[in-house]
Amino acid sequence: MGSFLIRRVFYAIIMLFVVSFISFIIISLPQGDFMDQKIAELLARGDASALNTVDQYRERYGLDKPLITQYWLWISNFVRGDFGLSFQFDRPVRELIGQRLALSLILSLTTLTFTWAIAIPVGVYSAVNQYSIGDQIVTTIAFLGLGVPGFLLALLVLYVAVVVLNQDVVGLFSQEFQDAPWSLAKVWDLMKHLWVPAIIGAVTGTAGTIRIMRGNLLDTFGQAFIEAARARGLKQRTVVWRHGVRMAITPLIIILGTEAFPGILAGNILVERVLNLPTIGPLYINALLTQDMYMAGTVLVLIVFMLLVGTLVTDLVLAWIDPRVRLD
Amino acid sequence: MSEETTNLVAEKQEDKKKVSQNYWSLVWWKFRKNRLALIGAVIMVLYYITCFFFPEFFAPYPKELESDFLEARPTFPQFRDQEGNFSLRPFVYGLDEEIDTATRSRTYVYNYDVKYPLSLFVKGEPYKLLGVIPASIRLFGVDSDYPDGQVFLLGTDRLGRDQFSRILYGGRISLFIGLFSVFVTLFIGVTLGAVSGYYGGATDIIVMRITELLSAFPREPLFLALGAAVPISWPSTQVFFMVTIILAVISWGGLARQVRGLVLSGREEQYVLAAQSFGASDRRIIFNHLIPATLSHVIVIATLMIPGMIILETSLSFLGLGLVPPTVSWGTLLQNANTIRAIRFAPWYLLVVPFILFAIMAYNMLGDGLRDALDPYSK
Amino acid sequence: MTKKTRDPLVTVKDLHVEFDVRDGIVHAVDGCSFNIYRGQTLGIIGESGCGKSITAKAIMNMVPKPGKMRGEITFYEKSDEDGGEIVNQIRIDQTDPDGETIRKIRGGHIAMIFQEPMSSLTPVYTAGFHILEAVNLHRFLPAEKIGDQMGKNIQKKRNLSEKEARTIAVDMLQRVGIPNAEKRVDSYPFELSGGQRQRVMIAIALSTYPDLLIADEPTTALDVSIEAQILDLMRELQETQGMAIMFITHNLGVIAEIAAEIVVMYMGKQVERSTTIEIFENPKHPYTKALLGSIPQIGEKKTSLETIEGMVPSPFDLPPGCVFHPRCPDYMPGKCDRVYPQYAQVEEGHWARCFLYDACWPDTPEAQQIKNQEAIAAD
Repeated sequence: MGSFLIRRVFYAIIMLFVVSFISFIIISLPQGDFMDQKIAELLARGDASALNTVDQYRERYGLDKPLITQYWLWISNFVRGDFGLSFQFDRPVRELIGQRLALSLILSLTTLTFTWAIAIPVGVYSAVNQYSIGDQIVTTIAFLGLGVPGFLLALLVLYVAVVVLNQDVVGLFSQEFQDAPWSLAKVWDLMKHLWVPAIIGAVTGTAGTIRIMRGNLLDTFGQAFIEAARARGLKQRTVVWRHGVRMAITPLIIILGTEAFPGILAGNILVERVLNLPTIGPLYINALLTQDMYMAGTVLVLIVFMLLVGTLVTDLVLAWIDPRVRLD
Repeated sequence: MSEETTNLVAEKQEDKKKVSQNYWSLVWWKFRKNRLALIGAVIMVLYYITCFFFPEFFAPYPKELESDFLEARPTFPQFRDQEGNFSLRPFVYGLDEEIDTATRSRTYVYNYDVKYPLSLFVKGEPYKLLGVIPASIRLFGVDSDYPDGQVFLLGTDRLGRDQFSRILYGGRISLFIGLFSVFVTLFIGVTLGAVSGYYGGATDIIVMRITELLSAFPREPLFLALGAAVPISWPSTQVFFMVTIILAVISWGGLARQVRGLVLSGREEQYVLAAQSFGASDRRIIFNHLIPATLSHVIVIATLMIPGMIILETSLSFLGLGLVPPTVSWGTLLQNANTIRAIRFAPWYLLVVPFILFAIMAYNMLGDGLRDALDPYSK
Repeated sequence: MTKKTRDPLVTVKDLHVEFDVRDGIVHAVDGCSFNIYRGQTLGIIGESGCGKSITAKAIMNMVPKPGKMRGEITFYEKSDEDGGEIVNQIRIDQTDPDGETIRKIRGGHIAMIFQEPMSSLTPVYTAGFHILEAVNLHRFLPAEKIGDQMGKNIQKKRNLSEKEARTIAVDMLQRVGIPNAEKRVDSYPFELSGGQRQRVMIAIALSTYPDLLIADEPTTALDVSIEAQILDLMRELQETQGMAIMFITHNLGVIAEIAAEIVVMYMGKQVERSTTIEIFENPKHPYTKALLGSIPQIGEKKTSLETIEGMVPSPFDLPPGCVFHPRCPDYMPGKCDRVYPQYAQVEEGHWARCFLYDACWPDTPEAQQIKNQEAIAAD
């Protein structure tokens, strides 16, 4: 088990380097750089003074150096925790991400909880009562939910909020609490707003999870050990949960692990953007649009990092709950 | 039939149904039984006819025609007017410009005294059907006796362009990208997957490592990053192809792995060994035998991929990356709906959303139906 | 030899199990009646699909949906109450399939082992856990932790402590002949061989000291040498525990070894029943005769194996009259295909369902008329 772990971690580190390099290249692909965009912006405002200082800026940010050097500078600072500077905000990337990290985390955890708290029981119910009215309703709803992309739903929700409910801001906080220091009232305010993006985010996830849970469970029910368990006189409920769900849950654990972790940072980028939430998603998009390369690059690499961590944790959990996996 | 009083057998003759056992006819029969799938198929066909092949016919206005009615509300066909008179022929109300004193902006209100009747097959702006055949008849529009009349089914945008028409035109791009990118993905994924599975060895390792690397990136952020790399200054057709290629590049991995698995089990089959013993070349075996065997799975995967592609492209252009105005796609049309101002004062911009949703839903129904039909063991 | 008691344990009267599927109604079990006595072994033999497994499941009220069961199944429960024996008759067919009554019986009084030892154990739980689960559910254990003398004499259901659990599990595994039981208690099913898994299944079944063990093709999936061991084990345990066994198989050799009485089934119907010796030496039904005839005998010189002509008919297309007549070497045209034979006692302790025997002709005037007809020459 120990060597397994070491091998995986080693592999993950290599992967991370490769990925960071590729990410960096991708992020630098757009023509020109941040400075071009900034200059265009300043010129549009009628401020030609920037043209003089352009070269100084470039030098300051290291944009005049060859790509490899830029990458090397960046990555060597990265591993030390210095993620570079955000051109747009003129502040360290680390600080900006740190500010939004907590909220991103809270949002994704809430979404995840919603998803799983609904999907698992409903999926089990659906499988146990296959073809009943309830099952058919569930299957239909799940099917519909699967087809609705989150950000479209967010637009519709926005419409309802603005036009029907007459709210001006659909964010995570009401006007008064936005910049206020943390307090119990602020927390309560957050909770009142949180459920909207959480539900939107949960829609697709729930639909998919229900279908998979139902499918896996039905497959499991067809196996001999389920009948054998019933023949021993176990209650239906015990057979379903202790023997059925226990066996059927494995693929879902994999999904959970590989989606939950990266989801902390980039759970539902577009929904966050539409609703203008103070989370990391909109930060990323902004960075892409303005070629704020260190910001964009950092977020991308961090997301991949979370994915690798998630995969590792998933494998560990799998090995723990399923003894057959341990043979590796 | 147990110990009843009469155990005599009644003379009954029943003719037996002859059912064709050919695989494809079984598939078709099973597919037909699935009502959802049929609905999906019909919807898809409708979409392709109206948006993909003949949008110019179905849309009352050309893509770029600007009218004087800027951000006007929708004028929907009516059958009954304010006084309750019923008319068999649908008509739309006229629009009058008004300045809203509170917001100090221009809005349009209905003028219930002005009625423009609609007719079918109206002569509109000339266009080229399928890009070749010149024509000018459009499916519907305001009757030609009323040259000032306009019918804006879903409102107009800030330049006075009819949204309904633009949605149809936009559908052409979005549907096309969805379909085309899947084709490219299939091409790359199936070939690499089959080759990888058949030859094994170094090829297999390389291909699998690449797919692993690709799958280390979460799909949406990667796609957005790549999409941002496409220069906005490029001509739209180039951008279009670039977006398609990017979509294919990030999607082929999963498909390749599936095909590889199928080929791995397929190549041990007897018929492959037989073909090899005849001296059939590897290429022949792969393309003429193994790949057709994976066809049913591939079709299902492909159909279910299309909605995902459409969503990705839409998200990209919605954010202002990839396809940008003046290119008309569902995503660029959605951009109009991106501000609170737009939602409050011109909510008809959001009417693109149901169009997108129905297309995606139809594809999902179709794909699900195909999957059930092609799987011999499902109920 | 165990003393043959004639204490009924389970009686089955006129059991019918029907499945209503899209193409028609399948009579999986069509009028079965037999008795199982305490301490006795009953063998049920027949081809695959003849309804023997469903019969077993019916006794446990575990007929899978959409099956519907009809008939009388009675379980005679004995409980020692202050010396005297009280026999409690429980109508299994009337119990709620998920109710407490039947669940007490399942696993507690009637245990079942299945054909697939490979997949009859839940892969993520150890052998010991399975035994623990069964014992916690069914066994009455001395309630020790009550502080006074009375405690030891009170039997109740409670969960085992870890130590007790281990002891009981190891003991059971030893009894079924698993070497190294101490270690095997913590083994997962994938760590055990087929024979070991079947032994574990038997251990689980026996850990609750059931009155009846239903064995549904328990050795079909095992090697012949392992099969012999398992059969020895079952016989031995039967003698020591006085347990009845209902042994289902399609293997004549096996059933001869283990059963005292045999019921022969074909297409859901009982066609013959008697003691093992009678069946083998004096078979009455043509089907039984054909089955026995198809066993190759060592030392006999033959050029080809004897088979039963024809094929098992489709359940939706049953032949009229006696279901076996198309394949029967003793077929009497005009008789066997027009009347349905009754199940009757044709000799002392020997029942059959065949028109070769007078007792099987029903009493109705029409049937009698046909019986007395001249034999029609078969064409």
